[in-house]
Amino acid sequence: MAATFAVIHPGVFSTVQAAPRRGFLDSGIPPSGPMDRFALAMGNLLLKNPLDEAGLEMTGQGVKLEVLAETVVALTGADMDARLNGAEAPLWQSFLVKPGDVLSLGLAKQGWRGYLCVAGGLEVPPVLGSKSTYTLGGLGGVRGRILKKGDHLSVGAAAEPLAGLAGRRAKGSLLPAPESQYELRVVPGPQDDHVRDESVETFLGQPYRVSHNSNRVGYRFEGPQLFFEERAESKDAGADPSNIVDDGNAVGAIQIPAGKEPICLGPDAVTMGGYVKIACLISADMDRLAQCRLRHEAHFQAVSVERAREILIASLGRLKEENVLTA
Amino acid sequence: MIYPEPRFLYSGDEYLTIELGDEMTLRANFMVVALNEAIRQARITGFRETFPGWRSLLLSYDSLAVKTADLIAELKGLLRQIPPVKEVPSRLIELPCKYGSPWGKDLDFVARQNNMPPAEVVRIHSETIHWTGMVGFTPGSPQLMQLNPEVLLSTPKYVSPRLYTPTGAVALGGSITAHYPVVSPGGYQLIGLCPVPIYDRFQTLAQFEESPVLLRIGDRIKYQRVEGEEFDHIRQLVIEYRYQYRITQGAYRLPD
Repeated sequence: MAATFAVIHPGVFSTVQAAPRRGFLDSGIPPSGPMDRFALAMGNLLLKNPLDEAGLEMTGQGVKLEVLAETVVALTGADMDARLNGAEAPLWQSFLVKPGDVLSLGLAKQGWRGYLCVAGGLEVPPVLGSKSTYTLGGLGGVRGRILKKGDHLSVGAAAEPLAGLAGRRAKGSLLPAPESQYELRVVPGPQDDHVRDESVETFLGQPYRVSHNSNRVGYRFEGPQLFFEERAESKDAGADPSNIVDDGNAVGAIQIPAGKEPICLGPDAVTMGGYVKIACLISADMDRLAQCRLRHEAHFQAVSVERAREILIASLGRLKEENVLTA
Repeated sequence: MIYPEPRFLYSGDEYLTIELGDEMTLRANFMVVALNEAIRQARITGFRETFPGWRSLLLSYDSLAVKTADLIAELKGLLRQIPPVKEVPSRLIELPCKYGSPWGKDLDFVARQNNMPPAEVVRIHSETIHWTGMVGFTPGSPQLMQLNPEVLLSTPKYVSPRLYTPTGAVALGGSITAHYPVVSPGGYQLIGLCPVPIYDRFQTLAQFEESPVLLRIGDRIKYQRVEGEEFDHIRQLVIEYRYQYRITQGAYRLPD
């Protein structure tokens, strides 16, 4: 199939992401998929694609693309100072691009992950049932890796004639408020009982700084030392009180090796580990974490698992046709 | 210990940890294998996938399809119906391994830790059958327990993890053997290198037609010691897509 885009500049870490890859967790393969699920889904909704159709996830810095064939695109998530042939291009709104156009994104000005969706979705072969890129395992996306200069990207068939897909924008009231993204809600557990009560309070009360050492595998946070309950010596678990007998890692689980630098696991996380997990980020707030800028201050806030579900339902409930405005 | 009752622990709103105990034993692992099979066959509402570990099972579920409290209630009912399992399906898989230098560069260290010559470590490690208690961390990486070893080999892990571990590295940490399918960091002591893949992301070798991952929980591994020329010969067979894996179907019974 003829390509629709040629990559002039690949950005820093740009990958194709779509519906997660399920069914291989027991083989050590995490789900992957967009880190900001709402942003990708809204981009797809604007283009009348299935909500988990393949789009491009860009990290910190966006891509520069040459358009080879007419199509409609939508940019969502981080504001990356998008330009179409040098003129400002809209965010959260679909627009037509034509052969010869240059779509150029820069550094993230607000938020951290930008998404580029295209009518019909990016066409890459599904691997193990998913188009999502998992770079460590070399699966999905463009040959299992981040975009490179010179890559050509093809797109699938659009749902409708292109003219009807352009000029659709998301209601502004639905969009995430930038100041909210550093309030990260968590469900305590699975091993919060290994942590001293006052340290659980510290974790939930004190500010943490997002470390520069953060990516789709995990986000590190710098903050106060946390302390563990006394426990019997365990040859199976390991010497340090932050060690446990290895168990499975949820996406969003927050490990605290040695009580320092909590690590919140992302969609490409290692599937198991031997460290206490004090809490897990609620699934809806992976969207917030995805947009956290490095070195910024964040807070963890405890919610119940029932409340987490309500938040998820409300978050995904925004993805309705009635919330799309037509220019 | 194995807990009198399983513990249901929240792992956020899309995952649940079912913890059966806190010990790294064959007994606990057998219970996990049985639980995993029961859950997979039960068509639990909202079921997505599982990660069976040494002594616990992580369940991924669609929280839009089921409330967590209802899921736990359903699982509790299911757990009551699982009979004690004494025997599980278990393949015996032979994997070639070249022990010692250059890739098994920590073999001498491991030998000193176990007060025996390196050749003795190699003999014991290659004569012992290893039990796959968990597959994960990186794609297809098994954690292997020595089954009835003549001497239990054991060694401290790296104090600071190395940044590079080659594909195929076989390494010991504590008394657990790890086998590294992809280049990754690592903290286990390197004792050998396996010339055949256990992860094939392109799924080109016939063995990987259904899954890019060779090993699964409950497999037994026997490392077959190979030397220079044979190692090269096997590498050549892999490159030509002609290598035949030696896999025997079977079952394994929990020793009394």
